Amino acid sequence: MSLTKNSVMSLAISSLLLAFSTGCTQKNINIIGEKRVEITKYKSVQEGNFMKIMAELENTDNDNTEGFVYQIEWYDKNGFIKDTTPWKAITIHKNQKVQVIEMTNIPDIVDYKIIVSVPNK
Amino acid sequence: MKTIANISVSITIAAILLNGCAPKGGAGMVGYDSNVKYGDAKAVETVTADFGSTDLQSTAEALTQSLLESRYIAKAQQPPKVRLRTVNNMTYEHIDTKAITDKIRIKLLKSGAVRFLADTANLNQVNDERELTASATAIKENKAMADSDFIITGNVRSIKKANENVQDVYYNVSLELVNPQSGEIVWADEKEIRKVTAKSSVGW
Repeated sequence: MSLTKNSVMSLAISSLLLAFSTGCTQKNINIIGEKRVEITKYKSVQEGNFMKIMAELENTDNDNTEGFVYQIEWYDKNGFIKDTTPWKAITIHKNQKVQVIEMTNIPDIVDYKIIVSVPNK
Repeated sequence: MKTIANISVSITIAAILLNGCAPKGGAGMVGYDSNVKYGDAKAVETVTADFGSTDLQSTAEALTQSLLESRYIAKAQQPPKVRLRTVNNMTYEHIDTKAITDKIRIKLLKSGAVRFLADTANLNQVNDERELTASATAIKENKAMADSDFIITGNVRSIKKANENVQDVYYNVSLELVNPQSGEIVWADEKEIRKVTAKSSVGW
């Protein structure tokens, strides 16, 4: 019984930690509209003066090809938005993943946000 | 007492009339209730399959990123001097290719990684300005103006195909970075765009 109780406690703590960590990492992502697309992983690297990001987008729908748009916002060290990419259209077939890579054109960018807009059906 | 009541009624009627005549909207707004609205300048536009603002923006973005990553720009000791030359429009539609190169130039200048010399098209104006201040140093200065490390040229091409159901347009924008002294092409990249229009099957 005590083992079960411990397991439940561990599970609860793990869930809380996961929830907190997910909450922190999601600050770079904003999905607008229906959640038919997921950003499964993303990261940023510094190339000289410029920030480069990679994001892996997945169409989780089993039946339909998804067409949607995405944009990257680039932020400076003060948290001011310095630039945005144009919205870009992308199509992903059902249950497929696509990797997108974007690089800022201006120096001194320290943060970013990936915005995905999925149209309502 | 009756006079006060009359004045109140007059003021109320005047206020109603004035409000009725006032245009909709508020301070700093004209034509608020018209059909004209401002949109997101960076939104994806699919009004027709012709070369549009989205194609211009995505082409400039992609080719600028590629150019900034090229070792002749990224690893240069100091920002190289570049001059834009003509980008040829080899499609069947009117495309303002200067809009593409101007956008790329703005992005590259903002990056601080490249310096630009005046276009050949604008050189006459630059020369006119210089002649106004002509001096003994003019020849040396002229040399500085002519000394570009690289020039950018390119082509825009398109292939169109259609049947009774689908119209397909493929655009290819290619740019080259050329060393004008040696003629060596040190960087080249392309942006490909495909636009598919499904023709309406509804008909009589």
